Amino acid sequence: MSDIAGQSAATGFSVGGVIRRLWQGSTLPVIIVLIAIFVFWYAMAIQMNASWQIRLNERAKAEVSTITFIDQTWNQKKPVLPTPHQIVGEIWNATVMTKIDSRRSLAYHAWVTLSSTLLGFTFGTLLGIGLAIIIIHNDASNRSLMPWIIASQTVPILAIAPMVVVGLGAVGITGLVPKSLISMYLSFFPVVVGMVKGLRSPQALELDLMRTYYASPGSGVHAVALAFCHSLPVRLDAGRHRHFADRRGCGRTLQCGRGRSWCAAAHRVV
Amino acid sequence: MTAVVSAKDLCLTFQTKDGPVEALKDVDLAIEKGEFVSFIGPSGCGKTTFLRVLADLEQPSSGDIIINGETPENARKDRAYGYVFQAAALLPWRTVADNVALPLEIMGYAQVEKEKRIKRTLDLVNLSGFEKKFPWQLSGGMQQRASIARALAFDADLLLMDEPFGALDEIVRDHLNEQLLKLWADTKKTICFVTHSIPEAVYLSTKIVVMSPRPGRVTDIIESPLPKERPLEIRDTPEFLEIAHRVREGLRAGHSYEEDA
Repeated sequence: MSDIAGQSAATGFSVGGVIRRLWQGSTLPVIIVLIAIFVFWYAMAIQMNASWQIRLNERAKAEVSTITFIDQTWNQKKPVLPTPHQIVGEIWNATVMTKIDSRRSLAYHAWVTLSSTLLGFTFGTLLGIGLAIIIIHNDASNRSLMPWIIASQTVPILAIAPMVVVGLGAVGITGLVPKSLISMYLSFFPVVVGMVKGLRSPQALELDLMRTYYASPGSGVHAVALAFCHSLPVRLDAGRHRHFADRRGCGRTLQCGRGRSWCAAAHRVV
Repeated sequence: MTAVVSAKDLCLTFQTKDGPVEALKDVDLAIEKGEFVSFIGPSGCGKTTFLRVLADLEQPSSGDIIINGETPENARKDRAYGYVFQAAALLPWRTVADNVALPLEIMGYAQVEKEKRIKRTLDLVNLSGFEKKFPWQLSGGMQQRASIARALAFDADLLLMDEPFGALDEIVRDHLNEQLLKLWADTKKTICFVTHSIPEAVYLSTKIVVMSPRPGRVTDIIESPLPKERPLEIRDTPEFLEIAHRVREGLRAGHSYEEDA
């Protein structure tokens, strides 16, 4: 028995092998949960769309079988709960089947959202980097700015977003910018915190080393690059550097490079 | 012979919260070209501080110090020395070859020259074949060898080594000491080597500077009569033991001074 199992595993392709692979791996649980979600979804679609469908059928004086009725609840024009296949179909229609400059195009509206988000993220990143550079350069700015930066995150900006937009409109700032300012407000904080931590992470030894090379900020972009690499809060290439990351007791790895070569770096948390 | 390093009445006092600490007091020392000088003494005797003064990482409070006929600052700007720290301090996101290339990149060497130097210095420290490895893939001894290669890469005639093998076990240390002597013979560099191991100092050096703490000062300078060719077995010869004895005496003298004071 075990011989047969061993053989089928060795050949790599057999029904038994596939089943065992599914059973041991994480594929099967994921599939089961997905199926459960879809079953529940379609069941709820019947339940939630039923009353309106009954009324429609009464008006039309139509006698329908149970199967037809279920099919009707899953394909209503304006359902209370649309089914997955209706959603996929609608997304397809609103993106691929609609002209990109049409008001009904989802892609067009996605761009409206994305443009203010990206602009806000750019603002936030610039503000964050600027603040971080000010903060690391002297203790006074650190101690005076940091509390306000932290306090800024306690303001429920989304709740007062309409007021912000109206207020900025009153001083003549309209269009994309007010929305971007709100997303800037949300996004600058993690940038500041990560950047400050990163810019502080080169140790005395590394700075001494740079000094022995006479790497002035002008002649050695590396001194900055070193610090900057440390400050990028990006998690990439974790697999290759797992060992190092584990030894350091942290899993944050990041990429840095000088344009030419991308190389992986482990962020130091000491 | 020309003096590579000469210090005269060199003093350095650190201002701390608990008052001034005299890290170096009236240090007089001359190091000739091609010498291997060890600085030995208990912790706090100022041996590392002296090396850092040479490297322009600390400023002396008074006295003169000349390196290659210049101030330490100008010597640093001329890239007159390579510094090997106690920890290897390799950048973890760079391969061994890229780590060795770091000073070359900062100093603006051309690509071809860079590759030549990486190959040559890695050969010197017996790390050929490890170019593509990352620091965490190397043992402690290999990491330290890579950091020595990095210090050698830009052809400074003076090599400053601050307890480079301090964190390594005795067996690896013996091996690296042997290699270091060979490297010194091959490259004819002047080496200043800080250590707290008596056998290491005696085995490696042509000159041993014995220092004592509080205030950090030189208590004895021993010119070693040992030949340049030194197999590890030399450590069992009477000459070797005699020098080791004198070093120990020098260290003890420094301590009794401290107790009297």
